Amino acid sequence: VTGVSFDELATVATVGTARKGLAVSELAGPAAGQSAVLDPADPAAALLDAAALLTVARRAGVQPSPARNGRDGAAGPAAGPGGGPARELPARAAGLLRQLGSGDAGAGVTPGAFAAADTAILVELLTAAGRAGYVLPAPLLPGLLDAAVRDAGLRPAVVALLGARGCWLAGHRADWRRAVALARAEGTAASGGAGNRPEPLTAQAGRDAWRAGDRDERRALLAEFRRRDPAAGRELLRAGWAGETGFDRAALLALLRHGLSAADEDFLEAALDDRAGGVRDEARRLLGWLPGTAFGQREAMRAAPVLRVERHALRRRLVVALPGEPDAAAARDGVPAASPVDGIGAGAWRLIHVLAGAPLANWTGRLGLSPAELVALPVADDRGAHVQAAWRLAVARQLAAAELAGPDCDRTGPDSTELTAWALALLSAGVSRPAKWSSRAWPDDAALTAALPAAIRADRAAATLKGARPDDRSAAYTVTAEVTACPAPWPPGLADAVTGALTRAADRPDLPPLPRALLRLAGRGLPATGPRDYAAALTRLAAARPQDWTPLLLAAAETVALRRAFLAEL
Amino acid sequence: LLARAHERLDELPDDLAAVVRSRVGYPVSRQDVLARPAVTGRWLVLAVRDLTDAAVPGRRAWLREAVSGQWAMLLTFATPQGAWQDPDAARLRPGTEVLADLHYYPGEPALRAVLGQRRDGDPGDGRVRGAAGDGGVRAGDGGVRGAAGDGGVRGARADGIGAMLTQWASALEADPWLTTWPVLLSGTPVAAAGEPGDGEPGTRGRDGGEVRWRLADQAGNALPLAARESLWTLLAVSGGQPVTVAGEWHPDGLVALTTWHGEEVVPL
Repeated sequence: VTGVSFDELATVATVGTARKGLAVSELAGPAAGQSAVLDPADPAAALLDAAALLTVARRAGVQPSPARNGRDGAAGPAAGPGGGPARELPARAAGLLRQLGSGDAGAGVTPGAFAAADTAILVELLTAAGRAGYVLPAPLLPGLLDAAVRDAGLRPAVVALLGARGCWLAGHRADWRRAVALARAEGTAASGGAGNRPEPLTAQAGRDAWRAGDRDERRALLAEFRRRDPAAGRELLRAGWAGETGFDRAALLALLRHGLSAADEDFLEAALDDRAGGVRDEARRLLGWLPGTAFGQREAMRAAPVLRVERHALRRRLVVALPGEPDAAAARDGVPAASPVDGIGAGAWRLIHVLAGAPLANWTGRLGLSPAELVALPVADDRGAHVQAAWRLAVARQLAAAELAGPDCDRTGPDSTELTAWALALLSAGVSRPAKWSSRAWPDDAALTAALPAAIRADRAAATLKGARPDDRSAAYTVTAEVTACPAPWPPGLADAVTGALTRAADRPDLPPLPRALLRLAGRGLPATGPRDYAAALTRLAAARPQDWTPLLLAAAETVALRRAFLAEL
Repeated sequence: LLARAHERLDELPDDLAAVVRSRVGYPVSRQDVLARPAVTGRWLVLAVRDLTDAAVPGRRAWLREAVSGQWAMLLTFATPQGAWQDPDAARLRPGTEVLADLHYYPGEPALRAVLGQRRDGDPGDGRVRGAAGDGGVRAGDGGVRGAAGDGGVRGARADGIGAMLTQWASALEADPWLTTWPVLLSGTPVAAAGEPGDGEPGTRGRDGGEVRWRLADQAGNALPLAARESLWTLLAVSGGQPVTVAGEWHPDGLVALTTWHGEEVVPL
C-alpha cells in the first residue's frame, strides 16, 4: 500500500474529513517512517499532522535540477577586443558615477538609480570615459541600461560603453535590447569608445536577420548597413520595397539619412510617387537635404520668380508674388494646396513653403545683396513675417543637412559662413513670431542659434549676460535660453561671465531670477577641466558671503567637483 | 506540529525545546543571550538583507567565521523612532569583517546571535577588508578559480549546491520550521526558459521578457533563483561566468544578496 501524498491530503482537506472519511495512517516518501505519530482517533488532527510532516519532508528533500550549460545565458560574452577583457572604469570613477545616480557612492545600484541624475552630466562623463577607452563596470550596467530605456538622450552614451559584457546582458531583456537597437539606429553609438561595436554581420546573416527580425531589429540593421555600405543598404531596402507596409516604408526610408548621397537620388525621386503620404513626405525631406538634385532645381525654379527687389530712387524694398495653385508636378514636389498652420492662409503658406525650398545662397546670389541687407529690407504688402518665416525654415533645413554631412564637422566652410550670416541677420532683425503661428511655420531663435558656431554662441550669451540686470525677469528668460543653448561644458569666456554674474549677486539675501536660473545650469555648464577650478571658486564665494541660498551654490559647486574628480580618474 | 510539540515541551531535548519556544514566540531577552558562551572569531559579513515587508522593518546580517565556516545571523529591528535596536549590528556592511564575540540564541541549528564584545577596537562599521586581496574565493566542490572566481571572500569557502542542500536537510532535521538558510555558493546564473520538458506556466521565452534564472554550479546542479530586480546585477557581474553568491535559501528559491566583482563587493 502506498502512502498518502500531499496532493491527496489537500483534496481531503478541501472536501472535509467527515465527508471524505479518509483515515490518514500511511504517508508517502521519506515521511512514512513517522506515520506512527498520527492519531487515528482524530482524523482532522491526523490530517494536519500529516500535512506538516509531508511539508517538512518535501522541503528537506529538495533536489537540485541538472544544469544545462550552453543554453540561453550560459554562453558568456566573448573576451574584449584584442583577446583581453575591455578595461572597466576605475573603482573610484565608478563610485562617483553611482553617487551621481543615487547620491551615495557606497549604495547598491537600485532599480530607480540614475532616474534623478542629470542627463547632460552623465553624457559628458560617459563620453569622456568612452574616449579614454573604458567600458562600464558590470554592477552599474543594469541601472544605466534602465536609464537608457527611460531617457533617449542618454541612450547613445550608455550603449557606446556597454562593452561585450553589456551587449550580452542587454540581449537578455526585451526593453534593453530595444534601447540598444534604437541607439544603433540613431547612429551615434559607433562614435563612442573603441571596440564597442558588435561583431560585423556577415552579409548572409544580415539578410537572414533582415527577413526574420522584428521592426526595431530591422531598423537597426538597415542603419548599420547604411553606415558601412550605403549602396548595399539601399539595395536591401529596394529588394523588399513592394512588400513593406506604408508605415514601415516611411520609417525605413528615413534611415537612408545615414550615408545619404547623390546615389540615392533616383530611389528617392521614385518614392515621390509612393501611394503612402508618409513615404512621400520622407522622400521630400531627404531630397531637400541633398544638394544638386533635380528636385532641388525644381524648387529653386519655383521660388525664383516669387521674390524680387524693387528700387525707387534710393529706397529699395522686396516685392513678393504669391505662387498660384499647385499643378500636378508642384503637388508631387510637396507644394501644399492648404495651410496646416492657424493664422496663415493657403496662399501665404504656399509662399512660405516655396520660398523656404530654395537654397539661401540663391537669394544673395540672384539679388546681389548680403543676408543682413536682405533681412533688413522692407517687404511690400505686409508680407515681411512670411518672408522671415521662410528664411528661418530654410536656415533650419540647411542646418539639418549640414549636420547630416557630419555631426562633428566644424562649421567653418564657405557654406557654413553663409549660413551663420543668415542666422545672425535673422536673429538681429528682431522680428518676433506673429501670434498664433506655430513653430512649424516659425523656427524659434534657439533653432537659429543652433546654426551658429559654438564659440559665437557662447560669446553672444556672455555678452548678453554682462549687460543683463539681475532683476529683469524677461531678461532672465532670454539669457537663460541663450546660455542653455550653449553646449556644456562652457568655454572660459562664458564660464567667467556666469561666475561674474553670480559674484555680483552674492551680496543679495534674496536670489534674483537670473542668478537663480544660472545656478541651475552652473553645475553642468562650468568646465570641469582646465586651469581654473570653478568648484573651488563657487565654494569660496559661498564661504565669503553666506546667504539663505548658499546651499544652491554649494550644490552646484559639488556637482562641478564631482565631474572634475571623475575626469581626473580617467 | 508546532502545537503538538509545544504541548510536549517538557519531554523534548533542550535544543529542540528551545527551537519550539522561539517558534511559538517565547521572548528571549538580550541579556540572557549575552550571558551564553561567546564564540570569538573573525566574522565576515557576507550578506545583509533589509526586511521591509514586515510590520516592523528589520535588517538581517549573515556572518560567517573565517576559519570554521560557522554561520551566524544578526537580526535587528527598527524602533518606532526610526533608529535601530542594535545599531552596531545594523551598521554592518557586506564585505566588511568584525573581530568580535558572538553569543548564539539557544536552539539548534545555532544561527541567530547577538554581537557581544568587539575585539578589534573598532566601534564603527567594521573593518573594510583591504583591497590587497591575498586570497581569493576558494570555491568549494567545483574548485572554480577561473576568471570570475578569483578575488573575493577571503577565508570563506564557497560551497557546492550538493553540500549546501545536505546542510539544509540536516538543519531541517533539527528545526523543522526553518524557512531560511544561509548559503555561499559558486555558480553561473543560467536561464531556465526553453528547457525541454519545463512546462511551467507563466514562463515565456527570451522575447516574452520573463525568464526564470537558476544558479548552476560546476558539478552541474542548479537551484532556482528567486526573482528580484537585483538579479540583473548578478547577471551583469557574472557575464555568463561562475560567480560567488552569498544569500538565503528559501523553500521556493535562492535569494542572492551579495556577489563579488573581482575585488569589489556588490550588494544585490
